[in-house]
Amino acid sequence: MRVPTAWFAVALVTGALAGQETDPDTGLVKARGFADVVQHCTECHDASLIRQTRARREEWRGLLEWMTSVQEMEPLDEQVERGVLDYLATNYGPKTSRQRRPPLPDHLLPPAR
Amino acid sequence: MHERHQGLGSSAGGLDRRRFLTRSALLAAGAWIGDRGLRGAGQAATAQQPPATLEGKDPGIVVLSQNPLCAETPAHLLDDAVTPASRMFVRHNGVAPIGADPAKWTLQLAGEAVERSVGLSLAELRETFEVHTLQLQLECGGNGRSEFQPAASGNQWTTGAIGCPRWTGVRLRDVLARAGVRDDAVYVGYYGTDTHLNGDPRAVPISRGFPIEKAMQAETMLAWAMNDEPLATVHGGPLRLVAGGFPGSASGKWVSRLVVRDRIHDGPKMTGMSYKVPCKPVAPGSTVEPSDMCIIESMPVKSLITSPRSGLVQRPGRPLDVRGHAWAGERAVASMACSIDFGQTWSPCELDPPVNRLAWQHWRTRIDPPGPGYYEIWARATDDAGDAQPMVVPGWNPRGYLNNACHRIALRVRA
Repeated sequence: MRVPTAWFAVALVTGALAGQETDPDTGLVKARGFADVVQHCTECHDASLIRQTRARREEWRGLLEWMTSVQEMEPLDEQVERGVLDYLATNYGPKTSRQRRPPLPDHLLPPAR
Repeated sequence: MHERHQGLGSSAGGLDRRRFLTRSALLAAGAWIGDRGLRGAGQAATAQQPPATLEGKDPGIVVLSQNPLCAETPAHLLDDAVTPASRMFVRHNGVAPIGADPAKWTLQLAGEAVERSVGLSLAELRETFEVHTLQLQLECGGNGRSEFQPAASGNQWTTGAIGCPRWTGVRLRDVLARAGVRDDAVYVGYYGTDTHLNGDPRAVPISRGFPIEKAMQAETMLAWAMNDEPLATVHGGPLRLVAGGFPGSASGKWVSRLVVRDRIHDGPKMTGMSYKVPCKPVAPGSTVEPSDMCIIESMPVKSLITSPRSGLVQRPGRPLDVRGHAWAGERAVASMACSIDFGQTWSPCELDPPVNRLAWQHWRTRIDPPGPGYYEIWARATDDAGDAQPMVVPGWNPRGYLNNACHRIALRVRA
């Protein structure tokens, strides 16, 4: 499947799908699960690490496991974890581009004539 | 062609590789967080180390994360021959120490493979050992991560996690000799005074290092000054390691303790997936077994176009001066070439030798676009072993290290 370049550029800049409301403080998409993510995921690091990441649910789960097993994060309550993973997988799911190398981003291109 | 992987050093070959415990390959897209409020005055000299902030950094620096503090430098701001502190990238793994007093700073030397444990103050370091000043490149192992597909977790560095300042300090090997390095020494590990993001005062955010062979090189330093200024806290002051050519994480910051190990060091971010790549090349998106991952040693050959700035609009019929830097991890750069036709033809560039081993090399050329239109200038360095930069993103790896694809800038020549 071909993915339009413009979509890729938007994803790079916003870290999320276009048209979604974002929280001005954290830059995170405001959607179901947002409050739990802010509470549990920004205690140690800021939200930019979330916004920069695009991953499948299982990969998000692997990252949470790494934080609890290696980085001493308090394990999440099962229900909270489900909500957090739902939020992350839904709003920060994988990029779908299969390019071997992306084109230069818009901010490095000469202005349109 | 990938039997000998440029990113994998051979000096520790034959040693048991540490197996890692976890895997969390993640996909990511670059989220740029430009910080336009960074203009500030230089740091005043005080008894205590000033806090680690981005004050005094060039306003064009791009902040990737505030906590931990990570920021990179756009290519056009890396034009200086010697990278000034204001344009040096920042990569913290934990929280930088606050209020350290250089007058009370001590460095402990210990580990299984020293004859005796030794403590040295900064003053003793300065007075006891021969002081050296060298220009040494530091590049984050994840520089270029943003281009990998599927994406890797972590900060989405583009091209700016590289710099080549001038460092002043002492040779690590001279200092280690005070403790007596035993024949069974394998690795040197560092501990710094930064604290873990999780707030646990006992937790170590990062403790990496390098093989004893690297520690014994004449260019591996313990540095207290950068560009003739006391080393700022944000860059590891009052004392840091500089192991040029290795991933930046080998060059520990705020170093208070060094351990000479009789095995590969096993501190946080030596084990696990960090700073490792598959020992043999894998298809993009593969799951890689822990036993198939190897520690990164030398960084690969790479270059940057630092002038002009990408996005230029040029009048027709005028040649354009192009310049930048090239470096090759532990090797030297042997030649440099540029293309303005997407790699169909290449023209050699003028290339300077390094001012000293492990310093980046400056290059320059003049291009003459044949007519109006859109052009990209591609730059390609070749090292002294014959390895050249690829045009596309090289070997995919779970954590997104070692992207040395050729740098590209775009310009338009007016009709």
